[in-house]
Amino acid sequence: MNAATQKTGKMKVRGASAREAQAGFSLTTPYFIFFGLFVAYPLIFSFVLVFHHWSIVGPLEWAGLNNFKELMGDGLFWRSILNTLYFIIIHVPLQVAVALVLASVLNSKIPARGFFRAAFFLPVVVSGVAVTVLWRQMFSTNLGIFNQVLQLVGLGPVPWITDVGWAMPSIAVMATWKNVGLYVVLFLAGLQSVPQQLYEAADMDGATSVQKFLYITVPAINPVVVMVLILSTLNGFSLFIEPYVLTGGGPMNSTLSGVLYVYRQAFQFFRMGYAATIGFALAAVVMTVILLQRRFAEREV
Amino acid sequence: MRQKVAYWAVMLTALLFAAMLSLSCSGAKRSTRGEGVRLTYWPSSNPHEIDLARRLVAEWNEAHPDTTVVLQPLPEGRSGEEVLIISAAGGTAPDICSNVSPVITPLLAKAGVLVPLDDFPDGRQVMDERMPDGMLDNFIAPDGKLYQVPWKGNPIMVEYNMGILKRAGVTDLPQTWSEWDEVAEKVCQDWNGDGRQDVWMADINIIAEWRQRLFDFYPLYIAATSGSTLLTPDHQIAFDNQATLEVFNFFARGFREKWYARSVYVGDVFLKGYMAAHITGPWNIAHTERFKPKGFEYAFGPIPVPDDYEGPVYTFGDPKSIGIFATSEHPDAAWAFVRFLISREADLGLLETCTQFPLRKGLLEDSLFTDYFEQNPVMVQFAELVPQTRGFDQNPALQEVFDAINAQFDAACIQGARDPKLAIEKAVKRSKNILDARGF
Repeated sequence: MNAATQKTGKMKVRGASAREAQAGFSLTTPYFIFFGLFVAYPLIFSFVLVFHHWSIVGPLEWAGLNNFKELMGDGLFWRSILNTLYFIIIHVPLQVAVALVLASVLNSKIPARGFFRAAFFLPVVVSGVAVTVLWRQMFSTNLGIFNQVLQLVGLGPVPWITDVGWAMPSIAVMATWKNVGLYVVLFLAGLQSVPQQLYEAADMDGATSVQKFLYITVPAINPVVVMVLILSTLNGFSLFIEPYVLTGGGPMNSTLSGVLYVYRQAFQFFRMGYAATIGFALAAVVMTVILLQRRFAEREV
Repeated sequence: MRQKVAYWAVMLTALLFAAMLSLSCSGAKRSTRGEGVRLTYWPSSNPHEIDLARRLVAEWNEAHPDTTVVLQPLPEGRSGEEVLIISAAGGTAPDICSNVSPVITPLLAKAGVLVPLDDFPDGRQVMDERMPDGMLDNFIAPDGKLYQVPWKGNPIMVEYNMGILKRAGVTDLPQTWSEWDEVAEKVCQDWNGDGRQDVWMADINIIAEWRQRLFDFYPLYIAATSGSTLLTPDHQIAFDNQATLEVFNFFARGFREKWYARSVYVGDVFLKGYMAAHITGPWNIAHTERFKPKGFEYAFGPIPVPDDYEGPVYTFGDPKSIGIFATSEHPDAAWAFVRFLISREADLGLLETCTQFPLRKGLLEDSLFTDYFEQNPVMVQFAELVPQTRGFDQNPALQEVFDAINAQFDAACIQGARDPKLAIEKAVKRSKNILDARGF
């Protein structure tokens, strides 16, 4: 290969990579425009708002660190964080356990398996507000179906969402029912990737079903468990529709979630600066919890 | 090939983006397009008010070919306040809206979103002539200007299921708290013998949202204080008083005795016969007439007052105003249309079509309305109450003050978990902090 051919080859390569770069740039530009307009700009603007008072109409008023000072002394904010964590503590283990059990059942050879798989996924695609209104009727203390059934066996009535002690657990159960289908699908995918030889070997060693589940299935799908833990925790932190429609954050602020408190400050009291401050504080709590979760839950198989 | 794909991908995205932008801006353009003046008018999304607005706009457009009004019902949202503020922020506010809650006018006024009526030569004079004596003061902004046209009010009263009352042997509607309690004891029973209470005195909404307190705590507070609102004219706390404590005790007693159901059932529990009473406004007459079961009898009574109360009974007026937005390119034309909306004839339409009350003095004496009141005697008692209604203090932090009261009402009355006196002290303290932080 002489020098001229080498030069032409290099130019071709350079020309090709320039074209590739151009194509890559063209293809990613729409995403960057979208990202800039709908992610980066709102994020930066929200951060600016943290240092301002703003009623959404009218000019920004410089607030310095006043929003932070207010946040530190705002008992309702801390209450909303504790409420959200309480919801997550009930909801996430329940979600993982129920989803895992259902996925195991749906992974075995049961009649009408396709129907049940679709049925458990159905609530995921139904409107959250519609589902919540339906549950509100069922939760009704005097006229709801749950208490009507309990009455038949001489129990109740239970103040499902009207009592401080019952309200958040009731919401957690409802949220679990609503979202479990999504996690069942994830677990099903995980379960189907576990090598059958492991079960066959365990059968030869005389392992019971429970032993196979605990010592083969669970370790093998650990990455899926971690993913479900993180997703359901994130989902838990975004708790909004259920308390918004069911309880309005009551009784006695026992179901006031962090996101509902942000909404209340932003769109009921039009205090955008303070709402943004709560939003960033909430994001910090979410990041801390997720990091801790990854630290303790992730492990090699 | 790859370049072509990239080219078309970019072009398609740009086209989509341009289409979205064009669609989002089309609303703003519409008001300036075409010949002559074009005004956008948002009435409430309530079907009765849309019917009235359609008729009035058609009449106006026929009589004023140079000023065309385009009607668009208020977009749906959790609340009209939320929708209006967001539309003002987004630059998509109409020229005129007739569903402006006086709760948000101080905020809108402070931000320069509304045109003060003081800008029109006859603005204040028209309102002084229209409004019942002394009522206009309730709508003046902290800067002394009037940013709204107080249009209509709905005196809040108590609607009773007369069938339930008769079955319990009650013949007279309760006027005082003691009488209310006596009726409650009689009606709250296990009537079908299944061992469980099946009728309650009233459906007090237990959702912890400040708006719900407009239909329990607030009317009773206004009645017990002979027409006081939550703040003084100089924006200080006015509810730190014995009347607030007594109102809290009144509701706490009712929840304790199970006269009010701690339930969240979605549906008309009043018409279904579970509740003996319902605190509501005249708009509910049309609803009751339309959906009542066969043989259902109802009557309206005043908001109950303390036993030693003397004088006329005041109540919450649930007022709504008309606002002219500062983004309007034709404020004078908008004001002319607003004067048409509050004319005597239009006010009669408001009564006939919407069963809602124009905030107009001398309604019962005006010959134009005589036939209407003769044909609708139930509306006379509401009309008599109009001058005795109160609305909202014109303070931008009022919703937060209401929320502070709502939180304590929830704890002390609904849940019975806090001493009412302590609850009110907490509400007062929080409200003072809120007002201090806003510079009042």
